[in-house]
Amino acid sequence: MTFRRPSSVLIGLLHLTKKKRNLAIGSAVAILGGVLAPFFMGKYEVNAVLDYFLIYVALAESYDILGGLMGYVDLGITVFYAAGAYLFAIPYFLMRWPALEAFTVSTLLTGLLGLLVSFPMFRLKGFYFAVATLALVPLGQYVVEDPSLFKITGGVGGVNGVVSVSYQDAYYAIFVYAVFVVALVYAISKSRFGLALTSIREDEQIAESSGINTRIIKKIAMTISASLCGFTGCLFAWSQGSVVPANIFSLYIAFIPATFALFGGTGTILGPIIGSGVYSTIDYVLRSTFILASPFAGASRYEEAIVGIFLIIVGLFAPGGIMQLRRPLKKFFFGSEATSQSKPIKVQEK
Amino acid sequence: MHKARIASLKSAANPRRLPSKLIDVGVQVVQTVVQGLLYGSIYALSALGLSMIFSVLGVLNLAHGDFVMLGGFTGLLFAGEFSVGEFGLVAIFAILVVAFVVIAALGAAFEFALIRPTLKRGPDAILISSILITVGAAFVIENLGYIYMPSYIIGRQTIFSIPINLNQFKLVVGGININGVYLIALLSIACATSLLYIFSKRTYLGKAMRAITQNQESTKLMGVNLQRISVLTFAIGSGFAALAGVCIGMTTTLSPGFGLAYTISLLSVMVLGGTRSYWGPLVGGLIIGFVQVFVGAPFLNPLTIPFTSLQFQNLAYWAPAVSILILIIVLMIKPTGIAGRSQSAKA
Repeated sequence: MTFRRPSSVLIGLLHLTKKKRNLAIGSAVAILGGVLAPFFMGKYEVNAVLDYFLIYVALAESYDILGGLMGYVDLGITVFYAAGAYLFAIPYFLMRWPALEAFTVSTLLTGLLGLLVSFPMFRLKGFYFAVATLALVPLGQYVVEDPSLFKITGGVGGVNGVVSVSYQDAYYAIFVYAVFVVALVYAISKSRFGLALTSIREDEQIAESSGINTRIIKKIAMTISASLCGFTGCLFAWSQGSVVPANIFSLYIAFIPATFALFGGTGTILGPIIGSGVYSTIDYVLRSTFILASPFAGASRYEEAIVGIFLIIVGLFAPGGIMQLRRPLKKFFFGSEATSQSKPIKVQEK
Repeated sequence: MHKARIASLKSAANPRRLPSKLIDVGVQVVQTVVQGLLYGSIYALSALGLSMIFSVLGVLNLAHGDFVMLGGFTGLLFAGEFSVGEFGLVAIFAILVVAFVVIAALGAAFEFALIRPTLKRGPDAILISSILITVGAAFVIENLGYIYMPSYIIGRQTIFSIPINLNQFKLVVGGININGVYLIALLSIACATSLLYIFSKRTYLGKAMRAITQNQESTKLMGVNLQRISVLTFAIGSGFAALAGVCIGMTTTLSPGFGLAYTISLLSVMVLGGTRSYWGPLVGGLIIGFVQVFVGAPFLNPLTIPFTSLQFQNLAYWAPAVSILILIIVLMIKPTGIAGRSQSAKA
């Protein structure tokens, strides 16, 4: 980026390449939209739709560090999300800690948990890694629902507390955090560390022989991913006020980050956002008054099935996710010359 | 019935009669072993289908647990519709065959519609798209199952369990009392697995299937029709899932939503045993079945866990989770599974 007049951002924008200018304008519009959104929406839309959308974005992006950049399909990422939620809710709601301390402790502990889990898990690759991480989710639920821990974790009922923050403040906190996660993943993907991750994805042995310490890189990636998920869990508990094991450890939720990232396109920054956006839109539309007044009033019962059909369609026709369709769509809408600027997208195929 | 005779035999064998408490424990141990054998073989049967599909096609079928569930409900509907439960053994045979055929056809249709288009991609892309597609299918099946199954069935019966009247086959030895349904389920599982073994060792199609797991390219060059093999694999795998579902329905109860959770146990079985060999899922399934039944078994109650003051009965809660712990420990020690050959853990 070369600014001829550092004081003027607008003039600086003119001197950027087309791609960077699009990026800057796109993110500015997204941030502006996010900041203004609560002014046009009610409490329900903000608290039950937008918050969840942003939480899914954060989860899917943290999945993307492992699943997209590094090529390790981690299906158990919600364990860290749930761990973060519990480790926040117990000190904050039950022991009356200040929020900031609870946030810090919870995030650090979740990162530590990620580091610990990474020792056994990275002995595995591919399918075995996916299965072993997925098995962590029911294991976590058993730990939390253990009768001997009832006084701490609340058993099946979970931890419940009074939300002491207004829904706008909670929304802005989650929004800032989601933007931070997206920016962090973008920065990682552009950094030397991200290059190491992608080289592990392409060929781990070659990466190792060209001087990358793959063991440490993989552990760092999992720790980062886990602590990001943990903080997301904290925000969830903080804004919703209840952590119920049957919901937070459900397998439906466990597949959400991975499937959203795959749905949008792994290894791309925009993909997980699109995936989460499509899901939240379906969710919102199915529960909206418009549908409830129409003959399809019972449609929200079929939400899981509708999401399932979306997943099947993506798996069948666009295994690289929706982002894979970017070039054909661009060609369709803007003619062929629009595609000359964009590079082909790297689809995770070996 | 023969209690007096058995007691007299026992006293003849042991002049100092065994304390009755010890006999009770012995009876409980035997019954737990039988139960473990049953649960383990049900796991083994369904994991066999899953691992067959994975090793031949490279497709991770996460909807396999839902096929188990659908198989069980097919048997339940069939049994309820024709009230065949009174006919005893013939009824069980008919239920098993019907469930196998229906779910095998469903599996073949599933392969034809959803899996076949993805098979031309590379191995990693197949894995990812199969995860997407089969998770999607599992969501659809479970959602529709939750909505329609209860309302359709509750009119006919209240408990989701296949009604079989097999009291005449009850095995009673001493105080040991084994349900006839357990025996029949065990027997049919043994028959099914041995049939599969003979199929894969002796027939052309079975040999072709095993050849594909070793080297797909050269098998293709030998003139094997891959598409036919892939339909067949899916059909047989899903059919075995259906048999397992019927066995679950006969011995315990079914629920429309246990698909994905059951798939996860199956995945642990599969990883525990390794995917490349025929014996892997059997060994893994039996291990997980026994562990689930023995951890927290009632006869362990008086004992305490070594070095702690915890009682074993508190562990009953942990029984399903112990299999996951075993899975993780096995993966740390030997990533290819117990029965797996030494090769890299790359999918």
